[in-house]
Amino acid sequence: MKRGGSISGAVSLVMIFCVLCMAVFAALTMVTAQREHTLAVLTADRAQAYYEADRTAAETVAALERGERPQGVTLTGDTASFAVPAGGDTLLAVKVRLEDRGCTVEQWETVFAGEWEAAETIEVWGGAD
Amino acid sequence: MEERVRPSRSGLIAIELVIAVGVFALCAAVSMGLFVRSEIMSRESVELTRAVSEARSAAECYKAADGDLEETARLLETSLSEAGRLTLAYDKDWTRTEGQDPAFTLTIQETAGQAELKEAELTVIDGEGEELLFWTVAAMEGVS
Repeated sequence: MKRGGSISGAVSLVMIFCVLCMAVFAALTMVTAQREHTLAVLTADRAQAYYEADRTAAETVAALERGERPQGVTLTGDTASFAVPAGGDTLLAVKVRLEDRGCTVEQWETVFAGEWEAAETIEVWGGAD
Repeated sequence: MEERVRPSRSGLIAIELVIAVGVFALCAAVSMGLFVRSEIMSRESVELTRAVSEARSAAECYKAADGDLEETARLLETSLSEAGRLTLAYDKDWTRTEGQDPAFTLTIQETAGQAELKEAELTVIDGEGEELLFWTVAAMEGVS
């Protein structure tokens, strides 16, 4: 009886260990897969938002070439600048120089428009007392 | 009494083992289900990421070609169909293929936008055409 009981206990322990391992690995795999999927969807959304912003910017530049002044465009001399939301905290910043025939693009880039705060949690040496 | 207790103890051990195996089987089934769902989710993520990557690459080729589909076809090493459409076929590993049954298809089709704009719709679908993986529009100003 004693021998049989110890074997049963060992089997149960191994089984509990196996079940725990399986559960932990399954949970980790699922979490990783979900994060990968979230990242993939975010990337796709950002790409779509960028090309949508790109199209809007192209339409605005076309309107400027026609001599119109669309909303949100700032004119400084012969330079027109505007920004289009490109998903998340990014903006597609565009700056064009208006010429007699058409215009020249001087800036066409995504810029970060979110807010950030400088970390002030680490005490650093501020120089000699 | 002792003679009746002895078989019941071995019976208890058997019951314990049966319960342990049952719990193991239940957890294994749940874990296998999670593994399968994770595998499907990972495959979808990879497909979406590759679809976006290929579509962006094609969109940039279209823009680099100033919206000229023939030049875009040359850059993408494919040919323009009679319907004025560019089609890129991929196998299941996202390698370009000329086979009859591609796993994924990227299509570039010019659309009518504003007069001064050139626009093309980029669509990535799976082989059966049942699932739209990614869709976007590339536009460029330059027909002035």
